[in-house]
Amino acid sequence: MSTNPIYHHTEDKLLKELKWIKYAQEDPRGFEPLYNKYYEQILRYIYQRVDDKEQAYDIASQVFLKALNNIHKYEYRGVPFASWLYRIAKSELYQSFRDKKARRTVNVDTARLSDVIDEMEEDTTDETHKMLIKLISKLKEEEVQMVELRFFEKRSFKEIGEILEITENNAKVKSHRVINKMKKLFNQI
Amino acid sequence: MKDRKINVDRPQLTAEEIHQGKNFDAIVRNHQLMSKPFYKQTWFYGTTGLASIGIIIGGMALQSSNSEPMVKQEVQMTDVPPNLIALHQEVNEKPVKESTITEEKESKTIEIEPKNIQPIEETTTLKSEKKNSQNTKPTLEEVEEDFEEIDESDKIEKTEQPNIEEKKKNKAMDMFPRISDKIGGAITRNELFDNKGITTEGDISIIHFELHLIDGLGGKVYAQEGNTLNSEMKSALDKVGQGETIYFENIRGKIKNGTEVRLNPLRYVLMN
Repeated sequence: MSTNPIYHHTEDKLLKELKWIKYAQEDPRGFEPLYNKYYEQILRYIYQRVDDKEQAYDIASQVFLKALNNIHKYEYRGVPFASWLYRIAKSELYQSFRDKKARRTVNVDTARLSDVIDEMEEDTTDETHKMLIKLISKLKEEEVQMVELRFFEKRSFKEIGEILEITENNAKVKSHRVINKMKKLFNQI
Repeated sequence: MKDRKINVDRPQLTAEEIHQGKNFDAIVRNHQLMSKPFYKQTWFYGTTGLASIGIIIGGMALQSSNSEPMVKQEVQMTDVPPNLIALHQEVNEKPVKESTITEEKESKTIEIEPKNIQPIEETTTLKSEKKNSQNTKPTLEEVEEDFEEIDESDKIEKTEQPNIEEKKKNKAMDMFPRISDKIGGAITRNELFDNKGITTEGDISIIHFELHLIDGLGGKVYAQEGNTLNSEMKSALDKVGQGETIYFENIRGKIKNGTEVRLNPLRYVLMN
């Protein structure tokens, strides 16, 4: 599985990013490079989970506004700045769902469904695709999140761990458990 | 959260759509709107608080520094006898410390009344007459001897010596005329006819004076060269009734170096 080059950084890139963060902490205008760098992936992350494009724009704006308002509280922990933005995005998304400003949506890409079916060691057919979509609707929210992050968005366990605020190993374990559960449910249907 | 919608193969956002939602200026504007105004910031409270405390402390310090000289002045005016201040200021040109004054008050040298100190040179008949009379008061020499005795026995500090010298000088310059040691007020005929006549405590000889008597018909003036009443004056005074006022005007004296001076007039009310 390929890794997200925008998310994963070398040490030099992390330090350069830290410099931008310090500029932003001194002057809000200094936040612009970070905004330009991460806007697309945050918007895509949000749009993947909501039904409406405008809602995705609004939530993305809220995420960056919140990040700018709280940039002075940011503490560097050796991980990309994006992980902090993802956590804010997750929080904003669920706040929108609670406030019924947006509807929780799972966007399934049939090409990516094949990866899940391979992981479940089942045959890839139209019927298994349909069954899998049914299965997703029966999963818990945390389990859906894991499927989205791991299989639909192709994120590494390290990245998943940083977004969900769990360890990399824990992300692996949780991913494995979701697959086992889906396999079990698949056999019950 | 089971109320979720599932979209299959929904088209991804294009670069144009992504760019459409991008507006950094709007975010900065909203950030500025949401930022606390400066008067709600912690630093503002801190700075304002510190400045206020500084102003209060400064004001209190200024007030206390202004009130201190007033207190000192009050002490000088109330606690210190006026003659002592004058003497000390002449010598040292410094305000007298309260402790020094207290010591002076307590010491026996202060018990010597100024009246007891006589001029060094006898210029009037007062001194010799005083010696002869029953109510003889000690002369300056005697006082000085007493002073020295007291000084040795009681171990009075030497710093007080200049004050005594100043006192002696001051007594020598006493220019108030008097009759029977009275410089005014009620007087009896006996006191008035006293042989001493008009005298001073200082080094001054009375060479001329006038007696002014005022009756219902007008006033009458009697002049005399010297310091004693003449017979005409005495007979005129015999006729003055009790409670009437008599005046001694134009009293002139001569000091040691021969300079003639005019002294203050005297006014008495006759008692009998």
